[in-house]
Amino acid sequence: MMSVFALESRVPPTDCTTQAWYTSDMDVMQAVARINELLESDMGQTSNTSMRIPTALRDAAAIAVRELGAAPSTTVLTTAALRERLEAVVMHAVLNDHFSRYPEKRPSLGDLAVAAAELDGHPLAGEPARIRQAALEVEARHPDAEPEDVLLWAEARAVPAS
Amino acid sequence: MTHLIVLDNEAVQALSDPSHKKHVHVLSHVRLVADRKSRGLSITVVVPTTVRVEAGWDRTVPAWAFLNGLRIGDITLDGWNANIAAGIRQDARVSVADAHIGAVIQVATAWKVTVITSDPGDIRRVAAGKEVNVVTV
Repeated sequence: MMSVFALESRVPPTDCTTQAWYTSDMDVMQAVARINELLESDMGQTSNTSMRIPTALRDAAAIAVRELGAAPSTTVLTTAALRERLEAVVMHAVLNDHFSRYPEKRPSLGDLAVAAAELDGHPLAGEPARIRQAALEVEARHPDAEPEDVLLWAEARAVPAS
Repeated sequence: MTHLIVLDNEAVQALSDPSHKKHVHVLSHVRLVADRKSRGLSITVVVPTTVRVEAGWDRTVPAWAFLNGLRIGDITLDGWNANIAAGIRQDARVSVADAHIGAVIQVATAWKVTVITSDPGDIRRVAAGKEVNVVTV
């Protein structure tokens, strides 16, 4: 199995000034387990980092914190966003592993659109057949459509023509 | 501004067992959560610890590795929540796990709470008027 680090981190980019603090031959699920362990561990310990981010992004974050109250500090804003992203990466890795074992269990666009309707309390949530039909229609023309696109189409189709 | 998604026992069972007839349904919700997290939305899946007890979900047992990897957080039943759950159990005549779900709903600070459940009636009862989005599996 390919290491998750293989794609991005094993060879540091040329503008990276930090030596890698790990060497890894982990497979994906070992990496997931380690990331989960780290995400669950004490977040009170902090480290200074030489991570370089675009200056404009840093300044935009500072304004968002100061003027819009987006978070108590840019550090909180950054770490919260990083945590959400890491959690998403882990979840996708685990789901992809699951789908490789059970390919027939991969949700279709229709399944995801029904789930989106249910999570959002969409008016069509109680009409899964209508949503699944809309998914088939959308997918035929837009293979990369999102569940929300399907709901929009289903809703538009549900409106009686005047 | 978090959307909190709470799993009940049936949702846990369905998610853990690929042969369960509702597996893909619950899995679709988890996949959607992962997609929305990727887009920067604050959304999280949790399980009350009493639901874990009911479902037999021991995080140290390898059989539960799939669910353990999905970032489904525990909501423990501390003393404060136990008081609330005790009242709910008395009033609504529900299981300890459902009373715990009720306590989670009632004290949640999330902007939206969704419960994925096989028993929507019980969940609405334990919510006791607090707004909750109920997804039936």
